[in-house]
Amino acid sequence: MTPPRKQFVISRNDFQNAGYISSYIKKELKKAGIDKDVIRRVVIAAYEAEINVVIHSYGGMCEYVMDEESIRISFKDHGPGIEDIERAMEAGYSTATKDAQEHGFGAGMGLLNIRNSADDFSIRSSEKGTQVAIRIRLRKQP
Amino acid sequence: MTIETILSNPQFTLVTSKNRIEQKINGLYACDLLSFVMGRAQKGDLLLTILTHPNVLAVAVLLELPCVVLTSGVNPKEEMIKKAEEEEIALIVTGLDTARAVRELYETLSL
Repeated sequence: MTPPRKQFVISRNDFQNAGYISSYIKKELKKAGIDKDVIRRVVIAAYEAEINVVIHSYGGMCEYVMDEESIRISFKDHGPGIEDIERAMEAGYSTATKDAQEHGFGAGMGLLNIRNSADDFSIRSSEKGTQVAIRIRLRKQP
Repeated sequence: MTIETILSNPQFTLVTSKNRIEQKINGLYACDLLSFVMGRAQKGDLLLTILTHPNVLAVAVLLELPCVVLTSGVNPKEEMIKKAEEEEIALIVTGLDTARAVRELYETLSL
């Protein structure tokens, strides 16, 4: 039986555990017999959003809710927010630190990867924090 | 073609244990920015990179990439080797730079 919802805490700069949420969700979707292309899209979107919270925020949380039709994953962090969301959505635009870039992060593709993977994607941001909501329609493996 | 096939080429050295080296390699993907790897590498690809952050392995696990090759003489830290062992991903090092390593692998793997 797949748990329909779960919450996770994400800590700032916690690269060691980054990827945990996406791999947890992936396992649950696999158990539920979801199509592998759908799983790939969920994993890409969840991973990028998770990494964004780790790299760019003071920390935050993630929650996912799943039903027969779709999975909704939301991310909320405690700031400092994205100054210019429009630019942040551009391919290659990044505000990642040099240190993060040297570790392979900060390609400036994260939000774009999320938008391209999700059926619905919304992002809101102020200095108090950023909220990302992702919805992906589920389909069973044929 | 498998990970074991790669090891027949003396330019490539396995740094993890011989667990699961019979796994098949479907193709190659080379990049040093994880969001590109995330968006473009396909299941079964071998990843060539110079990145030694353990998060490379998190990406490999998520995308089901069975093997990571560190090129250009880059050496993994203990932390990365440990994570590769845990996740059962073969970690290979080579002194070749990425372009030359790709050429060698195409030949060795007959891709």
